[in-house]
Amino acid sequence: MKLLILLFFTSFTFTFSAQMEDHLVLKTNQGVIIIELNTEEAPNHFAQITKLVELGIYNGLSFNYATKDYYVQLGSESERKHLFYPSQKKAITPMANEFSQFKHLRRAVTMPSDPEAEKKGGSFVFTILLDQIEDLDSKQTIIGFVTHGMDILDQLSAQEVQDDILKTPLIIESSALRTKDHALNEYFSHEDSFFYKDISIFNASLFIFILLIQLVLYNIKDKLDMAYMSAINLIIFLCCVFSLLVYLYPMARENSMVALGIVLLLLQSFKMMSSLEYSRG
Amino acid sequence: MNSTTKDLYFVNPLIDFLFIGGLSIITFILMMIFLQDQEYAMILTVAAALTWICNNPHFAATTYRLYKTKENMMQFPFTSFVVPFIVLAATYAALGFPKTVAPFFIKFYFIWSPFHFSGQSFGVSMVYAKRAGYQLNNFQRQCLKVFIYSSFIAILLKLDMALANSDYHGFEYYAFNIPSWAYYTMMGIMTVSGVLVLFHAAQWSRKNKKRLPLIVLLPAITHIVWFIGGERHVAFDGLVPFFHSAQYLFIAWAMQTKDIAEKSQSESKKLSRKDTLFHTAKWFLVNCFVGAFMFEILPYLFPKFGGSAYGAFGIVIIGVQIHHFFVDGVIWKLKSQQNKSALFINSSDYLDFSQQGARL
Repeated sequence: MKLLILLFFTSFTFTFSAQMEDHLVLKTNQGVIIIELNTEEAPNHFAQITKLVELGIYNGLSFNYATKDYYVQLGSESERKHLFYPSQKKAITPMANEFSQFKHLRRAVTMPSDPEAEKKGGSFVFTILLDQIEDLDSKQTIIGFVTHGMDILDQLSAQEVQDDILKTPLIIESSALRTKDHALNEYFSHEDSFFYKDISIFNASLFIFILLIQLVLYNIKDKLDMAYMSAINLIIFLCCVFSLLVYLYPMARENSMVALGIVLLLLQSFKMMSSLEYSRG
Repeated sequence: MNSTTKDLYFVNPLIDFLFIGGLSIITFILMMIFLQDQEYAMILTVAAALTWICNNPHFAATTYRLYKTKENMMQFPFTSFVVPFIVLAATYAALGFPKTVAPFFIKFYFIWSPFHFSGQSFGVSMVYAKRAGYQLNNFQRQCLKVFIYSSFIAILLKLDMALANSDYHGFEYYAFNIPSWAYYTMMGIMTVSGVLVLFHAAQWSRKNKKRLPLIVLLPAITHIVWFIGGERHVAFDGLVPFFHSAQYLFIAWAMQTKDIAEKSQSESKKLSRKDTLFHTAKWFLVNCFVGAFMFEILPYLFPKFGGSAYGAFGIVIIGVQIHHFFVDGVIWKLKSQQNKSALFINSSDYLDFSQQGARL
């Protein structure tokens, strides 16, 4: 009997602690975007999205349409890298609206159901709002909200467009449904790896630049005044400080001592920069 | 105008008072009393319009002063020939690395900008102190410096305590995780140094049996109004760069006309009213055009590296301003004999009509 009670509570706890895979993770060529899906008030759309993600419909699609600070929209099949397979095409079915208490605010991910929208791309195409659009509250279904990666979409919408068509679309490399924790892990690990890759390239470029300067200096050291040498060395030192600060800057978000250290280093650097001309003596 | 007053002011008490900070203090008081929330947008529109005739020309005035003659360039060879390339490299790095270098580049600018304001306020204070014969020893000078700089550092720390990410031309940059004690400590330092500055001023007045002229302390008081007041009043905050630019242009104009007077053919080395107006208008127009070029045309000449034109524009105008901070930190040093000679004489010594203006 005790064992049965234990089993009952264990299963009960497990049921409530297990997270639902209700976060759509879109890995794009510019970074990761996470959409928390509206499972409760748009269950049919959630089921449809789940099916479409499993069939890989969104892989290779791109955000082709945008209006600055207003919206960003997925492109249709014709703008996809490869056309849909018959099995994929079959899964795209028209959906009836599921209105909810949510409003069409910034971050809302919305899907149309009217025939005109169907013609444009079918019921897999969604739009992400960058600003509130009240008119859509009674016309479209909110399938979720973007929780991470709005900066990518804001930057995308700031691009030059012609008739709302983006010159450089944002390509979805892969899509998957994940639990909240897994989605966040993927987001931050991608952000970190992107940051370290980027910073490595930057530091390597800076290193080559400094090396070149040192080589030039070595060859002309006899002709160059010592005061000029010290000023150039000061510039090199400041470049290194800049590189270090670029690396430390993200850490200042979490660590207050790093933040204060950066502020102090920056103030000192400003002072040194204004003495650059006078280091020549 | 007696000789003491003449030596103290660049032009005359009223003009000096208004340009050095009086105008901003009066504006701040009026805005605090009369301005309604809904009128903020109108003030910010005015501030945007003023950039064409004041803010942009003030940036241009530095470039113009440095690159005006070969002699000036050779006096500061690093600043003239190496610094533009450093700034260019940093701007390209920010454009090429929008997620790593750009956020720091933006933050770097947002910290250097008020630091630069503080440097100017301190420099102007020292000029008037010297003109008033108010000799400061090293400790007293440090107190004044700490008082001016701590106001901007305190506000910088306070704004960063919010821990919110901010957007600049589509680039996300983040706030530092600053503990609240750092802000309160800095406010304490500002208060103590302010009291010491006032104490030294009172001590000087007692010793010399005369009141220390207000203009000596005006730049420091103005600086506090700009930062502490600006933090409390959004619309006024939008006008602070204009007031800083006006202060700068006033001093730069004095230096410019002095240079022209020295080179003039007249035996008295004084410029006539007509010549002064002509050279002032010419200098102002050149700066307006150079400023418009630097902020309205130059940003579009840079590559976007796959980003938006709006983003590239934002990064390039930061580059332009950082170049100004660099140059400005060097060319106005009071250690320079040329600067000293121009900053410590009165305009009536080289302008023919300046004394008439003094009767205003």
